[in-house]
Amino acid sequence: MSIGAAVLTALVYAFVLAPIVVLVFSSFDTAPYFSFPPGGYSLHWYATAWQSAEYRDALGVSILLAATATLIAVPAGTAAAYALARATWRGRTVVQAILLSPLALPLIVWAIELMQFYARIGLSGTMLGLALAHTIIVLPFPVRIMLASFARIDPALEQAARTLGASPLRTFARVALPLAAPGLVISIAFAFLTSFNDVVVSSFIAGARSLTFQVRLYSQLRSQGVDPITLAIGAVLAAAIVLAAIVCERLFRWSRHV
Amino acid sequence: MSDAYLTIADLRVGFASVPVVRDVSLAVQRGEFLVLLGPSGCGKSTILKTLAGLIAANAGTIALDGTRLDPVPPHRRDIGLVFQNYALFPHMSVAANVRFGLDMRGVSRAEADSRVAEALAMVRLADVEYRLPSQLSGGQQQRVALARALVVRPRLLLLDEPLSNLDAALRAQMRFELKDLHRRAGLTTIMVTHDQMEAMAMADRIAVMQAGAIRQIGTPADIYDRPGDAFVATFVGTPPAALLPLSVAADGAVRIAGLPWSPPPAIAAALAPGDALLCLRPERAVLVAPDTAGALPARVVGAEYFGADWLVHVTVGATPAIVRTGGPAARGDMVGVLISVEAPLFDASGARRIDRIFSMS
Amino acid sequence: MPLSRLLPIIPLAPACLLMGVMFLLPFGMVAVTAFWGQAPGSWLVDEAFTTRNFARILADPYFVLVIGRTLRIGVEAAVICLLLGLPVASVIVRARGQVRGLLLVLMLLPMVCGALVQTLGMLNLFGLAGVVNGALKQLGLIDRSIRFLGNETGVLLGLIQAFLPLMVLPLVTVLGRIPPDLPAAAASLGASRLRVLQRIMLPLAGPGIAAGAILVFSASVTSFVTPQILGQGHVQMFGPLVYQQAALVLDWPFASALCVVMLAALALAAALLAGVARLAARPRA
Repeated sequence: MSIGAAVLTALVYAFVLAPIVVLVFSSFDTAPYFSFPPGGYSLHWYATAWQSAEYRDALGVSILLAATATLIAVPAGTAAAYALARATWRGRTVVQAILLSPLALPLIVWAIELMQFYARIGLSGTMLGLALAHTIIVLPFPVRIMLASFARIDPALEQAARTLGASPLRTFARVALPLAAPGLVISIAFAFLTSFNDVVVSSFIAGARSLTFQVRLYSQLRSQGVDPITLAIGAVLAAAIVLAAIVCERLFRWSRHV
Repeated sequence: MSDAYLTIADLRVGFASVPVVRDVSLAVQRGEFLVLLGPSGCGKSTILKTLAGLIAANAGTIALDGTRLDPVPPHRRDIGLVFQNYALFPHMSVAANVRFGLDMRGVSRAEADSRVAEALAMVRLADVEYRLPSQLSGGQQQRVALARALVVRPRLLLLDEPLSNLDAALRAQMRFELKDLHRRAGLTTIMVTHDQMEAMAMADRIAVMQAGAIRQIGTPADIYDRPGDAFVATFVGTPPAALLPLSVAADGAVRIAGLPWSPPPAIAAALAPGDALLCLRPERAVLVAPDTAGALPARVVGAEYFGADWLVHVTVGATPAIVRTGGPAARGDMVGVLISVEAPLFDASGARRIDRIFSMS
Repeated sequence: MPLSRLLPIIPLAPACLLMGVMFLLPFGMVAVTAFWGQAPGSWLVDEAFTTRNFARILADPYFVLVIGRTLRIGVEAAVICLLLGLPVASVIVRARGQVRGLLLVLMLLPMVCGALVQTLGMLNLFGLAGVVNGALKQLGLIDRSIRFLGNETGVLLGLIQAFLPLMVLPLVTVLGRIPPDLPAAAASLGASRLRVLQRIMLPLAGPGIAAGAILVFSASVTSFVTPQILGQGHVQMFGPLVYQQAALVLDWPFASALCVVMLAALALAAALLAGVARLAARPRA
């Protein structure tokens, strides 16, 4: 490996990871407006964030929404992925492409049309509408991840279960699903995070009563600039995700599934 | 329908344009050990998976013990299948793997425990029941797969190339053990293999397959001594038999591989004018002096030493052949090849055995 | 059809139903509404066929300017991501086991941590009082802060930071499939490093490069948060523009027409890149 590539790689990683590091770092600044180098360090903004009902509510909406979308999308996506992984009929690639299409098509175009669609069918500004929209944006992840997980299972294992007396349903429950368990965990994590992190779709169709944390943060950034409270919350979220990502890599090697 | 235990009639699998199994009919007796022998891709494994219900047949019927199997889904067939790669569930212990079929049948815990222990004892694996398959050697995995298939007391045991993933020493041992197990359990067994030595050593009867069709069914001795066609004759036997083109002119003049040959009187009497193929097995011929009466004229092209014996490679005319001998021969020497035991004779296309030529002795 | 034939496709029903009704149907509407009109000064949609929206886009230099700028920034982002992504991907591919996993995870962190949280960090990193300007001042390299944000530089920095993983992942996939002996074999046959790159690596990596480029380009031209927050309202791009037309001006048909134009540009770019990749990978005489 050339020295040049290694140095460039190190610089690229520094650039890619710098925002997270700076975010955590700046959340300890005492001043309401961050400047480098900071005047002092404190946990002041963490304490303030802890007491902020506004952000707590928004986080609650985000978590409820992400949990709902995950709860619908992961079972639906897993079932579809299993059917596709074992399918031999023509047209399965078309169905697969349709189920994965939100990954390939620009979501902003869909969100624009969805605003209009919701206005027509009366879902505008509702939690149900938001939950359905989030289900769509997270659905491709379990489909793609579980499809790969099921495809990796030796077909002979399921055939063996059948010859030993297991019905198709029990073969799925006792053999296919347990063997795809790491994929299932990763699907849940990706689905939850994708919903939780969404800004575009949520800010287009969120109603006043269903402001997610990301939409709240976005409108704050647009109108008043950086609120140090959001730095503290963002730092906690980023730290938690980074920690979970590294722990999950040790446990499941999730980087192989994306 | 015959009174056989398992009857396969006119079985066809695959698409019309690419048939994998072409109109195969087969009857297996209760307790029999039948081997499907053939080169890879001949459809033998497909027949096994069709019997287990894992592949749907396009035409034909399968009946087991007097009832039709075709409409029965795989999990209700009670047919044990041991997969080529064993297909042990990697997330279950050895005991859980063996117990799986009993769980599916709702066997009580106490009975399942004793049957699992019994099955593991039968394959001599009692001490590894809590290990995972990945912690076992190939031979042990093989036994677990066998125990798992046997514990449910299947009506039929199917073995798909069970020894192909083992090393040579283990293969020889498992070959004997499998046969011994069959003797003890008395299960009707169908085994698939491409290894003719396995087939000869283990089978009550062998069905030799090629290109989706059965070429010949018979005891190992039938297959070896009385092959039905040139394919069976050359496929069974190591090193393979040579097929020497033989022609008899109207005036009775005989040419073998293009060379004039005066066959011994016994053979000459059996020949009729026309073309044929003479099957020459390496172990059923001897090297003699080139001018010996009745010997085929041949030239030595090389010899291989195997300790117990030699394989001398010769050419008769332009056709290569091999003779197993007790001693070496020098490259370039002219020799005679004398047929020592009966040799089958096929028609010119090799599709049918037409006669036999008997040796002098 | 008998139940046994239907059984294997029943598990597909919930996902397909959701995707059909909630995604494809609304998405497909774009092609219809783009040809609807709207009475001037009114929010009422006129469902009669018209191409007026497209004529308006072409006639107004502002819209042409914004779309042109968006496409240009998209190309810039894709090219820079490719130039940065190739060496990074080749380093990742050559790493083994745990190190490789860790490098991949670190590369993916911006994606899993969420765009806005990243943007917060970017603001404090590149802002006038941010870490970069502060550090440069401390080192005495500059007196006055450099303006990174509120211009195209800021938007580009944000897009590259956010979308670099989209380039690196497909590159890692294709480069990982090239047997490590291949470049060595070419070198042993007398190919220089440049020729190895040109004749062996690039043709084999072609599909990955095309995939990464189209992903970064597509994500960049449809980005919404980055141009607004890091462009600080000074860099108008397609995303905010179409949102403005749909949600603030409430001219749905016109917003849809803008979307159709952007979809056409994306399809064209994808076809172009796929063609180039196929050309690069064609068997050589």
